[in-house]
Amino acid sequence: MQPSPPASHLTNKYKMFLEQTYTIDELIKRCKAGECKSQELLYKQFASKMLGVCLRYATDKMEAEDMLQNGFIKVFQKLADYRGEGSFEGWIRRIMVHSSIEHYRKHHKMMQLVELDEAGSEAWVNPLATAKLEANDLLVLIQQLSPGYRIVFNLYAIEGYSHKEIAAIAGITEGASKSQLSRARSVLREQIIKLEGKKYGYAG
Amino acid sequence: MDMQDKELDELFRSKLDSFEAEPSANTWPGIAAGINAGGQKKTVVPMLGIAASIIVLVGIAVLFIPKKAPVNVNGPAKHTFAKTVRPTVKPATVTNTPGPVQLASVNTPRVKHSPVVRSAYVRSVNGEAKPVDTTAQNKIAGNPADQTLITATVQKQEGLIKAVVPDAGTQLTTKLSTDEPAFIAKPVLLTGQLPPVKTDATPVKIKHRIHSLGDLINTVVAKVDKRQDKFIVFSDDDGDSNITGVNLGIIKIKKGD
Repeated sequence: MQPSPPASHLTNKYKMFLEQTYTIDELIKRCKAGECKSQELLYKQFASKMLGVCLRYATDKMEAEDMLQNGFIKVFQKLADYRGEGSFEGWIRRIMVHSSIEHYRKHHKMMQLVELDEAGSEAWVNPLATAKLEANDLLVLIQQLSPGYRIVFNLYAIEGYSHKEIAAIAGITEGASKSQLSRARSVLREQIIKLEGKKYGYAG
Repeated sequence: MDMQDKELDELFRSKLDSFEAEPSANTWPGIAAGINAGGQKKTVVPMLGIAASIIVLVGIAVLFIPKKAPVNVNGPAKHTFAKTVRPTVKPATVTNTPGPVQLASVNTPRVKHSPVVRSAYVRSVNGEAKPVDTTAQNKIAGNPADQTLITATVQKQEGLIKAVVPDAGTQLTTKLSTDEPAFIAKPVLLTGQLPPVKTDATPVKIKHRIHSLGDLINTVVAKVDKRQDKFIVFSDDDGDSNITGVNLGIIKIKKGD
């Protein structure tokens, strides 16, 4: 997640939004000044990507859009605090992640550990077969996880946070983070096997 | 081959890290509303705070305005009194002898004095007509000289007239028969006891010509507002109009001077 080189970054953006001729930095400056138009442009710049993030934390698209909405409101409220350290996308993404978790804290009492029967046997997954799984299928699998598993797995496996960081972000203990991660993985494995079975005609 | 934890993580990361989805069209309006709501709150809340504190401060200020002691001057009453009395004045009888003032002991019972004076008193106390002892009154009725004397003194001390209270009148008349000079001085003593009473000439002014905007407003308000303390009262003592009274129902402000 390094900031992409400005040139290619911008050409991408120009392709997507022909009407705007600002760089991200310019947009940020204008947004800080409170320009509504620039705020909308900035939103459009990152909306789909950030919805992709939120979707991983949500159970469905509606919930993800709620998270996105709250996340962007926070982005614009906190924009003045952004000092240009690190990539803007990374900054905005962190806000989305926090917004999504906060959303869960508000709407679900889910962060307590959900006990499962210890998965006795690790499910067996063929790595080659998984290559054919589409992003959408994986997303559905994540969305079907119980919220606690989902958050920990997202934070650890995709966002790349450590258990210590996850404990701080999600408000759980490090141990809980570890155990939820391992359970999330085993659930996902089982689901992938089922998925492959459906796809290739043999039961997992 | 068993899938390692890292492989599983990597699978999800590679597929989902760059995952994008187009948000529905009504997401941005919601965000814009959220931003504006936040902005408006920031501006509105302090405004409300300021407005509220101003109201509170004004309220406190009104409470702490030193109230002129309940001024019971009834303008019109005094006015008529002056008119009726004036003809009977005999300056010759008025002598200001301050000496015997102390003789006027205050604790004499109810009013006993001539009809003329009594009526004046009753009015001047602003409608709070004290029960007048009519039997006592008869004692003096037979003494016309006394009457004129009383009225004369009252007239002489015009500024003090309103201050005279039934109790005071009592002393006047009782002393009158025996000790004239003492009586004459009494009004002075009495006014000393009473709160400084100023003439509130407002009602009279309405009868005057309209000289200024203040007068105009006074007359208009007088037509509409029949209360004693008008909604707003102007006076133009120095040629320019000043607000001397405001009566908003709850908040009453009245400048005595």
